Amino acid sequence: MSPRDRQALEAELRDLRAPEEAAARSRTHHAVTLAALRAQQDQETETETQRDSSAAGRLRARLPRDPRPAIVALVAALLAGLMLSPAGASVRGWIQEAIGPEPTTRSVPLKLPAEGSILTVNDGGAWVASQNGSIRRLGDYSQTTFSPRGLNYAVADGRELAAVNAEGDLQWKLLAPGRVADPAWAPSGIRIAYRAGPDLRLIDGDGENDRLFAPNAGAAAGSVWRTDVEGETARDVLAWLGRDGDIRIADVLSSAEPTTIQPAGMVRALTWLTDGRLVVAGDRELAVYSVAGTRESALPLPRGGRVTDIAADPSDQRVALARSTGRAGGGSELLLARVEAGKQRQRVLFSGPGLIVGVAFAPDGSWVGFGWPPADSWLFARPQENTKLLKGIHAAPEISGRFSEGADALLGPGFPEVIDWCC
Amino acid sequence: MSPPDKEENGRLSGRRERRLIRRAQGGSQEAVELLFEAFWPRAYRAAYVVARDQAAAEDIAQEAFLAAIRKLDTFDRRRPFGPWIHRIAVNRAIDWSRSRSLRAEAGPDGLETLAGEGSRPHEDPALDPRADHLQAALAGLTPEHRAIVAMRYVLDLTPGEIAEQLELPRGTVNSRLRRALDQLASELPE
Repeated sequence: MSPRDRQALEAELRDLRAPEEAAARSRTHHAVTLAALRAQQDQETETETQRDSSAAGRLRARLPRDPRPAIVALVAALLAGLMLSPAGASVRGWIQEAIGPEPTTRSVPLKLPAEGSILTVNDGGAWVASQNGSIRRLGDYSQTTFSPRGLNYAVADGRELAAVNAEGDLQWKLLAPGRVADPAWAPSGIRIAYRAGPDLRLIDGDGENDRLFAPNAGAAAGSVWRTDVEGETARDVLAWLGRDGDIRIADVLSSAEPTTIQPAGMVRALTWLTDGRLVVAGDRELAVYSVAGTRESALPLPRGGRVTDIAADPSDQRVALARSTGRAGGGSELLLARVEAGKQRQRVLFSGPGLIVGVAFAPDGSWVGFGWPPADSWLFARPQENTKLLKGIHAAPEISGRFSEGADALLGPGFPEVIDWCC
Repeated sequence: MSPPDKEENGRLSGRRERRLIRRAQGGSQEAVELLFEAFWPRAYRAAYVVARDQAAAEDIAQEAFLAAIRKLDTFDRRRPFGPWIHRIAVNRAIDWSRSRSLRAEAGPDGLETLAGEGSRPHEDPALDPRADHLQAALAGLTPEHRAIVAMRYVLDLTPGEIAEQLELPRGTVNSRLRRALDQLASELPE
């Protein structure tokens, strides 16, 4: 074979294509994407199991053989701070009714009543409090959110947006074009939404591909994610409140125009239900919109006051709603609202002086946690709809002092707002 | 974020490849997709050249990727990802071709079964007549010769890299490659 013939043959071999390449690529792409998602979930589950076993081992090693003195001390500390504060005095009666006689000991670790960790922010930075009482400071951040499995955290302060892992190690960071607010990690884990100044932006969970998503998007109610899984495809759907007061819903990878919802009044908070419907909290009503964005129903709220936070039950079609009552002398209440079609109702889970700061459901939906600065406590209420009020209340008192590392010596640490409760 | 690295001849640079591996190991779905886009087409083509069966090539390339995904957390990202996944695909295609040869030798039942499998090159409208002749000529080579042709011209490996991956002496690779080209040239129309 001549060199020229060989060159021509080699060129033909380099240009070889296999049959049905596009169809084969499409079929394989689905399988590989799904496998990658499963591998990631398996890896996270395994890591969490290892972490849990090792944490349980450490806890067992520290516990005395007879746990009764420790339990007595624990109950005592849960109540002591609450009883001593002025606002706490007004609830002393029902706490005693719910938990038992007033104890005397104060120094025990923070204990959450359900599995998972609470993410919180105060003047000293962002923190994670685990069920076993351990508290980790993530750094000097004023904004934070969990990754879907709680293995990483998106954190922000000023124009800096970053991700840190469970050990607090920095994974990546960037300087945003504006002040960062409301970071929210999609349930798929693939991307994070955040506000930079007036704009809504997206960035991949690994810190790559930062881009403008919606310019001039407003800044009031944050943005909330939903991940729809259809067959082998997962779609990240984002809902956000625009500057014009309308809500927009969009599949972030779609080029289609966002669905626009025109709410009845001013919107204070948004959240998705587990069935894909959107709950829109205004000062006068709690409206529910279908997956397609059609208004389905509305639950009227008491007149006056203002909604300050909302959280969806991860196990049921319910939300917990914190609101100021607007009554003379101030005061707040925590409402539990069932938003299931045809079974809508609400009840007051808690009412007291001052503001409620942050609301979150436990990952299994068994408790609602919320911050109550007048008693310097985190309170946890069973989200019961039919039983007597004040049954099953859990309190974590003296809460500010537990997150005091790095606090200003003069001003103190500030109250730790309950941001989220995860995994 | 820094801009993406330049790619070399339409392929990922080593730095970008390592970064994608790191991101994929960290759980980035997008990184997995970019690795797929970068490496699947040649894995599929190489598997097809060796196996000569579209359905088998699709399965082999898919299995190679799924195996890689499953082992991603233990993959040493200092190593190049492309040659790793391509070697998996080529080795599996050789194994598949050998097993098919054995089945063909087993009797007419095996041949009938094979006749119904996959699509033939000339049935694909994307292939021009000249490519059709080349595909037919490739079918006349042994799987081992086809593997060397695929690694040299589809995967763009050097004879030294092929020798290392197939654990053959470099001289054997060169001689097989020369013989394969000679045979192909003799079977192609002028």
